[in-house]
Amino acid sequence: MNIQKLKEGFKDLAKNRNPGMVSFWIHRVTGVAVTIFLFLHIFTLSSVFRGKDAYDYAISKFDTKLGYIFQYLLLLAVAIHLLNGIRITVVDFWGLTRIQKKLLWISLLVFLVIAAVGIKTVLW
Amino acid sequence: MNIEKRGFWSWFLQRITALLLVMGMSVHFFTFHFSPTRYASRYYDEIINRFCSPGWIAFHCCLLALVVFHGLNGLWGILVDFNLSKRTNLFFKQALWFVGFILFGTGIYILIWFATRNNSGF
Repeated sequence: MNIQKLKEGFKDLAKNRNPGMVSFWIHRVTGVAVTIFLFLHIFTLSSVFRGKDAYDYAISKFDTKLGYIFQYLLLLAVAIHLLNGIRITVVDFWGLTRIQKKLLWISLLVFLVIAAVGIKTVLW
Repeated sequence: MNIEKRGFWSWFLQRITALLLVMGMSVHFFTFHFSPTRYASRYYDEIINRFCSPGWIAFHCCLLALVVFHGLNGLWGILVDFNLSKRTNLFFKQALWFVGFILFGTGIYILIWFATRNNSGF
């Protein structure tokens, strides 16, 4: 594994603190985090093989205060990855590079709305 | 992500699965995280009663395939950016395909498990 490349990437982020660079890193970090969660999700659901009680017990672990906070963080990660992903796809497919910064701010605004609504619906 | 390094199909399918996942994940998140019945909907009885219809099972099969492909293809895109040797690249590619099949297989098995416990028929 080329660790040097990873270090250079972090140096790039430190030097070029522009929104594009930050969104690039956020997209990658949230993408990896959500993929790791996918494994946890399948693992939790697989408790159904041990019966109804084992399954309900595993799911009830997410119905705690810590579980709700975890789900809220998951929502934030998925939302920002999804919105930035739409921006990237739209820019890629329709050649809208000129307005990509504007699209970034729009996606950030939508993200803030989802984050605010999520506080009420996921945490409570 | 670098289209020259990854190849066209990896790049193109990442975009297509992303667009489909926007719709799929929105339905999934609304049902299990936002709707008024979100807490109950995660438990065994509710899943058997509400989410074992052929439509829901088909939806979750598609969502599973899309999310596994998108997630692991995304990891592949990140790995390719590290400029690894051809041999290491091939190793990771095969490892990710293997992990993907295991993950998808387990997910499908869980869905079949739920579907076959629904008395109203699958």
